Amino acid sequence: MFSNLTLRLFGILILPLVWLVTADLLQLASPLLLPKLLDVVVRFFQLITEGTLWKDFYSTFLRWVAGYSLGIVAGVLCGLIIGLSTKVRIATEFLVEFFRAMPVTAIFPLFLLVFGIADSSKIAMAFTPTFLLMLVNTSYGVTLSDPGRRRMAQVFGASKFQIFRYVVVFDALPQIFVGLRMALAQSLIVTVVSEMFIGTDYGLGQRVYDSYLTSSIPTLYALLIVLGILGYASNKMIIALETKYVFWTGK
Amino acid sequence: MIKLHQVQKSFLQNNRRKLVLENISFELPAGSFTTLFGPNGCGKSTLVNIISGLDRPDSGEILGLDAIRGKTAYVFQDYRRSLLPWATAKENILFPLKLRGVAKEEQQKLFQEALELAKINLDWNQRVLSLSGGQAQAVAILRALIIKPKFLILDEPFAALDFERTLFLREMISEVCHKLNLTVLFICHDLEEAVILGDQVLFLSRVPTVVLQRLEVNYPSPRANNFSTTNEFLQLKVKALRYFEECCQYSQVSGQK
Repeated sequence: MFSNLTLRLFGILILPLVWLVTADLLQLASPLLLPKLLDVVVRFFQLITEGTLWKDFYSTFLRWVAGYSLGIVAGVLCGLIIGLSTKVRIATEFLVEFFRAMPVTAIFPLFLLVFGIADSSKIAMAFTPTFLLMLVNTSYGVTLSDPGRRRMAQVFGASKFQIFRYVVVFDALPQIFVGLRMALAQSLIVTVVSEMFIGTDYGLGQRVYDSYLTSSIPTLYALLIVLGILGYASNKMIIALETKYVFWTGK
Repeated sequence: MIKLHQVQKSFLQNNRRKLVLENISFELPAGSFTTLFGPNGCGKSTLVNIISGLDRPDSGEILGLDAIRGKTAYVFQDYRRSLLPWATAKENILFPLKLRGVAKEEQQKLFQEALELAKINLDWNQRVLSLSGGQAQAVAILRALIIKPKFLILDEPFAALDFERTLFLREMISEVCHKLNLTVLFICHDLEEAVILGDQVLFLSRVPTVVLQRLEVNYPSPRANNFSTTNEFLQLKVKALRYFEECCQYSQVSGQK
């Protein structure tokens, strides 16, 4: 009855519509809880044109990307080692599980002590969940590597390193992408949370917290929309990369 | 020539030694096509692993492996898993050369030679995922031929293919092996195929495996599919069937012990 496009448009528009009706038209909500949609939209564009938003956005983005990238490099490297060696895996199993079960946000005060209140403690926050997720998913991906495929390489004379380089790494890639997607969302969350603490001059988390303290509710909502767009767009980007580079999964 | 002499192999299973291969002796004459045929669960894959050097026998010896070192090629049953899904058809075919560090121009030359030999036409730059089963197995065969092997192991290469593809690839393999004078070891599940392609068919028992019978097929190679409609073939097939039944009976008797 409805085309997929119609359904998608409906899904996008339903929330703003309900918002518009309840807050703007019927004025059922307290402006402290749900400001008018129009106010939020105006504020959103003001933030963009005033120019301070960019600095906050840029700061958050840099911290996030720095922590995320470092976490990927370290996590994938450690994950490959753990995935390749059963001994290393057994030896590190407890450590990995222990830190994975610990809420990262609880470590932040410790990071403040170790790295200071500047950027490095926030980068360390984005790094931690990324590192753990990449480590677990990469090592899992390596163990998933197809024995038939490895055997094929072996009988055609591949060395251990060649089997790793030409077969195992590719076999692990789909699972590595699962890790990339999970870590992307998690690292953004902890970056923004860590920005709400002391010592942050610029950053979307800080701006969100400020607008709460000063009861600038339309600003708060506008910032949430910015963060939502950031998360959504980056996730879409990873999925696009995944479709392009690991096209063989599930086939 | 490759010669197996009293090869034995056992594995540890539930803390007990389980004999898999029991005094296996046979010859693979150079340039001949040998089919291994037996019921399910005979130690065929163990035997292949030993011949290909992936595994070592407990006792006994295999002669003639030095001459084929680095010259052994494989075609596996499961082409979906044995091909690299992230690579194109051509990259898959060239994979053994890449492992050996062969120069790019030389790779091209060998690729063209292999194509002329096999007489197959495909879009070689497409990904293997988009190939049909028969095309994928053809890629696997070309990948085996590209190293100019002396010894070719075919591990149930037609098992996952439909009949039409099987007929086509069967003739192609027979022709290519004949042309290159390859020594071939063909693991097979289908009695008709075993006789059509093999210069000799070895009948194996269930584990612990012994070679129970040997059927010689004196018919000129390369073999076309219409070999299977000749009287000669039918007589051989009757004989083969009897041998196979012997194998099964032997296995039952020894299983009851």
